[in-house]
Amino acid sequence: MSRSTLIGYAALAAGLAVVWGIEIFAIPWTNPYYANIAIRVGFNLLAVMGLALVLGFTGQFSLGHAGFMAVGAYGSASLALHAHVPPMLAIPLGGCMAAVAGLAVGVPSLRLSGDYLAVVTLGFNQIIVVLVQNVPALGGALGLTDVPVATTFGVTFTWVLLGAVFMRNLLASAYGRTFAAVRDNEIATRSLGVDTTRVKVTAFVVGAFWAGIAGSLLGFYNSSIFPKQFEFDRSIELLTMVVLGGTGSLSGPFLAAGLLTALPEALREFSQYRMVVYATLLIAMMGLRPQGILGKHELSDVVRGLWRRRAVA
Amino acid sequence: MLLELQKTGIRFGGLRAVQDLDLRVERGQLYGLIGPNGAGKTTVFNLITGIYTPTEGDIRLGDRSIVGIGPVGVATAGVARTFQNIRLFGGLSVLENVQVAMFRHQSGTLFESVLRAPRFHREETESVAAAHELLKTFGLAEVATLGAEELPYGLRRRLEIARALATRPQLLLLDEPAAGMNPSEAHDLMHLIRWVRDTFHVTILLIEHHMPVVMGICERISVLDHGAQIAVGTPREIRDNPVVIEAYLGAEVGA
Ligand SMILES: Nc1ncnc2c1ncn2[C@@H]1O[C@H](COP(=O)(O)OP(=O)(O)OP(=O)(O)O)[C@@H](O)[C@H]1O
Ligand SMILES: [Mg+2]
Repeated sequence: MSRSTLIGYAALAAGLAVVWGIEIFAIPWTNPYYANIAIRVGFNLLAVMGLALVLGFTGQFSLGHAGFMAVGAYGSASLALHAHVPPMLAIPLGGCMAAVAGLAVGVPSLRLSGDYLAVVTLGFNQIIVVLVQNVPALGGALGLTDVPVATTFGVTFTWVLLGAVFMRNLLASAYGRTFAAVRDNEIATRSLGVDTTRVKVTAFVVGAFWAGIAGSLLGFYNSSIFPKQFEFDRSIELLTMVVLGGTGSLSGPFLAAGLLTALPEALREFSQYRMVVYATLLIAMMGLRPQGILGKHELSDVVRGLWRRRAVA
Repeated sequence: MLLELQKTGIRFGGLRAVQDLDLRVERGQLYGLIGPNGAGKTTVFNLITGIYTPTEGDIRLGDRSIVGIGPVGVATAGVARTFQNIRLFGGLSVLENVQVAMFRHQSGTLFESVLRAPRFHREETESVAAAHELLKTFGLAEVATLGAEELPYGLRRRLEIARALATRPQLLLLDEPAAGMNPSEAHDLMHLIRWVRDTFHVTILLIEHHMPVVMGICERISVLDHGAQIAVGTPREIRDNPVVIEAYLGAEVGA
């Protein structure tokens, strides 16, 4: 095993130790209100990660990311309720079900280009919502209740860490280069013998998996899920986070997800204006900094840059 | 015979962009494709590489037809190309542009990449080394870590050739690689192209407007005009062919 791999695994282990340290020693004494915000930031980190891959790194305009969260949430909750699958197993299975949904949506639509995908994914999101509203076994408009509670801060951020490492390693690999190649020039990518449909489907399936994980965790946190949580505006919210954070960056969208989840909590009384705020933010961003907060850069680049500047000064 | 176009043609609506084209390129040959603007040269490349499907005729690579197998299929069969309007991956570094071309020869799975398995490291090390080697050949070693978009124009064309070669093709199609270069740069590039052919044992089909260089390095030349082949032969035969001279003068494009 190489040095960098060892360091990577060590960093992951350290991160897990910190997360579970907080879970055991800090959370019991923390105001549940703040713990709740932190956990919901975690859900959004997971969901936004997948969309950052699809939209930011691969350049595919997906408008139905919340639909994959719904598949994960309903899938895993059903497994727990009806088949008594333990939540810790149901969570990854929920991710897998969302990945299968990603495959089913992606294979036919990613062959065609551009705007078509936006329409199909938007339609998929709506169909999923209508479907769960009308299937009695899924609780209809009222949703599923009595889902076992299993999601804690530690569980959530264990998945966030796994997801972040997964993404970072994937992006810094031959696969990561093919995502960027498809985004930058599909014709050239194909001319090099790289099957671009396959690349796009891969990004889509991976993105759906992590959205599914986010959805699963959500169900096992609230103990209930209902269709309204996964409607189109949720997809737009995630899209805003990616665009705001920077397409072509992972930590940028993470930053935006953190801000956009925590801020509305702080400004609770304005919550009905959320969509207005998102729209304004997006428009302002287009004008001021179209590449997003971090553009194509990662937080680590920024820190390194600051450090260098200080060293020079 | 490596590449053979048999009575190949394509129509765009009423326009016969290429018609009745017979083209035979021998293995190891450096073959030139010339003709006035709009003659159909790039369209021939798009037909060979599967971007367009011919409406008439057949295209054979080695002993099989490559019609209908699509751009990825054609690339996998061993045909690489550059583009008249450069198509680099702007968000990737110079080195990474070349590495993308090696993807099809790599067998590491997505999970091996994510888990940083030994094969991931081996293939990554190999591809970096091979890409560096190629970049050195093309005088791009110093700029390997730059973004492809930061490269000056002439180097972009070189990078495109390096990237195409990284797929390890048997046939390399170059669409005006010297476009936008001054005569001396064009001259250097042509020597590089001949050197590439000799070193990599690759067959090259070349579209180029710089007449002196085409005449200088190609062993055989086809001339297209209005989608049809009006002459084929050695550079000397082409130079003295009145039909060719007429086509160029008629199109008011100086040689
Ligand atoms: N997809 C297309 N649809 C319609 N017409 C096309 C298409 N592609 C090429 N053509 C037409 O076919 C003709 C040949 O074009 P092509 O690009 O092959 O010429 P060329 O010989 O490469 O010219 P140049 O030297 O300017 O690059 C032109 O008239 C062009 O407009
Ligand atoms: Mg052309």
